[in-house]
Amino acid sequence: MSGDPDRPISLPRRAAYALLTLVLFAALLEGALALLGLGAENRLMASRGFAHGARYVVPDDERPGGWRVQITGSAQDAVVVPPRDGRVRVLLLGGSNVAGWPTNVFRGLLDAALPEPGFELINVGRAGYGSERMRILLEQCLELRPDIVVIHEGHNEFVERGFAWELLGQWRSPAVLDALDAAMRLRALALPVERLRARREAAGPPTLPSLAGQPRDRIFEGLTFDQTQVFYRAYRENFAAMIDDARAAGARVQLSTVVSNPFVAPEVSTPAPGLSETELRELTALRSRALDLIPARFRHGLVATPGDPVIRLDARDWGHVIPQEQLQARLARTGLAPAPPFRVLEGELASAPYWNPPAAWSPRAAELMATVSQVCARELSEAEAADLRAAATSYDQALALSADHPDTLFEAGLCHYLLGDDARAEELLRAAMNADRAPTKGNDLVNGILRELAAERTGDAGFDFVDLDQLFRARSPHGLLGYEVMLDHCHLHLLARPILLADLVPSLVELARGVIAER
Amino acid sequence: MGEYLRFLRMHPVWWLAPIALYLGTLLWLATQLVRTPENPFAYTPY
Repeated sequence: MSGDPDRPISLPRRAAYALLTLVLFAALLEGALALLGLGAENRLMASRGFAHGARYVVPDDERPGGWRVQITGSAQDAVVVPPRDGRVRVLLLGGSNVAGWPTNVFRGLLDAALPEPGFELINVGRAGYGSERMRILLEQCLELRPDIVVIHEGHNEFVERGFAWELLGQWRSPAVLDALDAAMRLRALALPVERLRARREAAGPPTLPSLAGQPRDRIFEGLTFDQTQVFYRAYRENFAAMIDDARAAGARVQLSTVVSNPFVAPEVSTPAPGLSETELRELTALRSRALDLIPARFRHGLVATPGDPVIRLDARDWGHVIPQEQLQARLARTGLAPAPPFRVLEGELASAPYWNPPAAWSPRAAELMATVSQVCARELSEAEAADLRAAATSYDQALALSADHPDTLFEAGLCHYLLGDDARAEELLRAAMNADRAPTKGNDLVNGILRELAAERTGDAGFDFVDLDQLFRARSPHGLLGYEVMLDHCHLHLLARPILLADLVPSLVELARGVIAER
Repeated sequence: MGEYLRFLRMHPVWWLAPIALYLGTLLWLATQLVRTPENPFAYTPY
């Protein structure tokens, strides 16, 4: 290095010194943030569970032999897994349904059935997770050496794919997401992410972003039934791989079908391809005529009509997961109508309905339940019955034009249900669920895949299958589950969840006996 | 070393600009990263 103060510094040297300064600055900044303990959270946010290369299961520095399942990277929702003890370790894998299982209740049920050596439940279920991310997560969770893996999911294939497309729409390529995951190791990036995220959460529910200018629910618009089959094939492949991976790692596997609410309208409804303009106009006219014939008291909130959209409920509408002051404000209301009468369910579901008291409901929940209650009561005047019969005929004609049109199937099912033709109603409502171009709830196609996967593994003592869909349908009038048990399209009311868990217990206890016998 | 210190003294734009760009990029990335929610739903149903 020259010490001559007048000698100009060449451009390449300037560039090299600038780079050196930047590296020194970045390193100093990282060191300072580490000393201050800042920016250690949210390390995995970018890929949101989709990256094969990311580490979602890491050793727990604070507990030797323990692990942390950092599903998003946030410390708040990391699952802390203690070192293994003598209990039977059960890994619960799935989407929001599994995430919402009351794990303590589940453990209580299992411990009561088989007190020694007891059960350890690790719930890595996460809202929105479908088979793609479950498979990635399971591959890593096998490091936890679970004795049993419970795999339960069938509502999220289209939800997850839509989300993946949205991420790709934002970041263009999976490689960019991987690079961002790597960049999130920088505290200087993790810190502003942490702060911005906290500010965003404090500001309330975010506005849903869009993909290439399209609203989220329009992502799948236009899919034909054939195109939807790709998603089911991926689901089958991922589930088969998960079962095989878990078995190969020495874990036993419990698989189960999923339960859904057929009284929720399809998400995306596209006519069969190949219809001419005239036929499409005819289809619209037939449906419109039929809809006009259904009395408003039977369709408000259930069926979309111009200016009267479908009311899609979520947990908040029943008084769950809302701020305490909002719940108190709801409870302080007076002059509310009592809970409307609903259907009588059987067996383990005989205590239905399982919802919160109506005082906790949102106005839209009360509105929708008023409609659903009238549908369940099926008290028709002669004129209404005649109108509904005419509507059913119009729907039959529409289905002759487009046999798998989801909305037509759903509305026709509703008509037949009101008319008391239960067998046909069940057939149509189930067909509507299957034909949905982007379902956000399980259906016969999903459950059919799960039954096939189970049948292929008959004779494997380390595998068991529980047909929850069949069990819940057997307890419901005409095989149709409804809002008495479900809070939305795919989630059970909180009080109904222990019933589903109790259905899983005998099979799990059998699998656990096998684990104990092998020790 | 002497030349490096002279560089720092005489050419502040050369080293301040990359640092500003670095910090700006991190901040921009952070705003983009929090744009997409954790999961497709704004609530967890339990």
